[in-house]
Amino acid sequence: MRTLLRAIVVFAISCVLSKSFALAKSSSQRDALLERSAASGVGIAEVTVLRTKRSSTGAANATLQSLGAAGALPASAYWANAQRQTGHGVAFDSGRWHLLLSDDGRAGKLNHDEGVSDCAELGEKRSDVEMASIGEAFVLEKLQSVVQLAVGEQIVFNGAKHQYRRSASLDGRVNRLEYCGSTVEFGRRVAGLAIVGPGSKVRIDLDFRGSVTGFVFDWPQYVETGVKQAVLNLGDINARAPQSEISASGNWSVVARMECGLFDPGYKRRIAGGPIQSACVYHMRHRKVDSTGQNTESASIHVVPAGVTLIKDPSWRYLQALCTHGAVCLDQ
Amino acid sequence: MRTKRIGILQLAATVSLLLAVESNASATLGWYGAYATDSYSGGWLPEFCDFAGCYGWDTTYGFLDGMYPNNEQVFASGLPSTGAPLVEGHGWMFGDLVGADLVDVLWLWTHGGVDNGIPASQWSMWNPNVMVNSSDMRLGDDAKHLKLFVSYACHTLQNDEYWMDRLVPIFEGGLKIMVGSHDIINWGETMDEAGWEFAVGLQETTIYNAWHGALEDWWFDNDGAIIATGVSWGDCFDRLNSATYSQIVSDTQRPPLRNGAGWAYCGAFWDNL
Repeated sequence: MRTLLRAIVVFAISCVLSKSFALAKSSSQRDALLERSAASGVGIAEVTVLRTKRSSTGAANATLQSLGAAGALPASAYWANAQRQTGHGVAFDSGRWHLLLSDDGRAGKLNHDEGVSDCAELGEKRSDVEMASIGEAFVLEKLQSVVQLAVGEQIVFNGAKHQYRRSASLDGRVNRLEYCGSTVEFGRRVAGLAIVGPGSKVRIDLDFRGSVTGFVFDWPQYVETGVKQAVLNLGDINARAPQSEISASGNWSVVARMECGLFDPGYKRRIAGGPIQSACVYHMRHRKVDSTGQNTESASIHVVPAGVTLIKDPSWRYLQALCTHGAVCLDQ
Repeated sequence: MRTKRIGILQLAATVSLLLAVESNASATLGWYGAYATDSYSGGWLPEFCDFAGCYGWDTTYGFLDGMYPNNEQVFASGLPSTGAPLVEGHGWMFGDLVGADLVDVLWLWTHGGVDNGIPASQWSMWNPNVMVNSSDMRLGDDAKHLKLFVSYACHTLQNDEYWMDRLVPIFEGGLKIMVGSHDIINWGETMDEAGWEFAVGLQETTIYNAWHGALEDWWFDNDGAIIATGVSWGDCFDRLNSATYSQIVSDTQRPPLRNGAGWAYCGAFWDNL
C-alpha cells in the first residue's frame, strides 16, 4: 500500500506543472504560471525569512488621503465624514461606493453596490494581455502610494478572471450568455521568490469596456530578518502534505496544482512583525463517481510549511499543527 | 382520513411556528439555519479535513458567528441523514417546515454535483449514497418562507444549457436569491473565514458583493455564482445586482415570486475568483 501511495504521489508531482497548464484558460495565463512555477521555490536550499514592517496607528486615514490624491478613488465620491470601524479595518462609504482599509493602511478594497450593470456579447471580450496592460497602468499610475516595491522586489502578472451573466426566460424563448468584465491580478516576488498566499496581491476590476470599476490590494512592506531557513527537498515537502489517493470505494483525491515560495497569510490574519517563511501551497480536488453516474466534488487548499526548521506563527494553522506534532519550531 | 389528520396537525404546527417566529420578529433582522459536516457516514465521501484540522464546521461557525447577534439562529445541525428537511413535503409531519423553510437564510455545506439526466443539482447527505436533487425541492413557500439559499458546494449552480431546468423547481416556491458555485468552491486554510465574511458582508453591502467578497481568494479557483428571478429582465437584474439582505427578509420589499411569477431568471458567474 505504501508503495502504491508513493507511486501516486510521484505521479501527482510529475503532473503538477502539466496540470497547472491544463487548468490555465489562456496562453498568457499559461505563460504566467510557467514563469511562476520555474521560480516557485522548489529545489532551493534555503530562503531568507522576512517579517512584515509595522505601521503607525491612524495609517488608514493616511492611505485614504494618498489614494485620493493619486486619483485612485471616484471623483464624485466624498469620504471624509463617513467612516466606521469594522471587523477587518475602517470602512468608508460614499453613496453607493465603499472603501475598506485595514487599520495599518496596507490593504484595501474599493467596490460599488451595483454588481454589474452592463454586459456585452461574448465576442467583445478583450484578451488577457490587453486587460493586464490596463490593470498594470492603473497600478503604476494610481496605486503607487500603496503598491510600493523595495530593492529586489518585482510585481508580476498572475492572471485574469472573468465574469459572465446568463439570463433566460421561463418560457424558454431567451437563453443568453454575456461577458461582463474581468479582474486582473498581480503578485510580488522578493529576490525572485514568489509570495504565496493572500498577501502581496493587487487586483483591478474592469468592466467589459476596460474601465476600472474597483480594486483590491494587500501589499505590506517586508524587511529581512537575517534568518536563513533551510528548505526541505520536494519529496519531504510532499510527505508533509495531504496525499493523492484513490480509495476502493471510488473516492478520488488528487493534487491539481502546487506552488511554492514565501507564505503571507494576508491582512486578515497577518500578525504585525510576524514571519514570512517558506511554504508550498497545494490545491486538491476530491471527487466521487458511483456506478449510477452520480458524481460530487469538493476542492481544497492546503498551505504546507517547507522549512526544515519552522518559526512559530499562530496565524498559520498547518504550521502550528506540525509544531504540536513534533516538528522543530523556534520562537521568532 | 390519515392524510386529513396529518393535514390538520400540519396546519396547527405551521400556525404555532409562525406565531413563535412573529413574536420575536421585531427583535431580529432575520432567521437563519445551517447544515454542515466535516465527514460522512462510513466515509462514503472524502472528509473536509487535513493534518491541521477540519474546515466544514469551522467555516460554518464563522457564518453563524457573523449572523449573530442581529439575527436569530434557529438551527445549526449536521447534514440530514436522508435529506428530508430539504425536500418538498417529505419531512415527518411538517413537510419541509422542519428545515429549509423554517428560516430566512439557509447555509448548506457539503459536496455538490449535477445529474443532467434528471436534470438536477445535487447535494450529498450524511447517509451513504443519499443525494438530494433540486428537482425535488421547492423553497420559500412554507413557514418562514426561505429567501436566501447559500449552497457551499461545488457545481450546484453550474453554468450550462441545463441551468434553468435544474433551478426552476427550487425557485418556484418563492425563493428570492441563491448563491453557490458553478464549478468548484474551495475549503481550507485560506478559505476558512468565508462564512464569517459572507455573514458580515450580508449586513453591510449587497448580497452580490457579500458573496463575491467572501469567495475572493488569491489563487484563482473559486467559481462563484448568484441567481435571482424577476417579473422582468430589469427586475431580475436589479435583484441580482442590488438586493440587500434587509430587503429580501421583508415580505413586502422584493416580494417572493411563486408559481411562474418569476418569469425571468438571471445569474452572474465568476470564473476563478
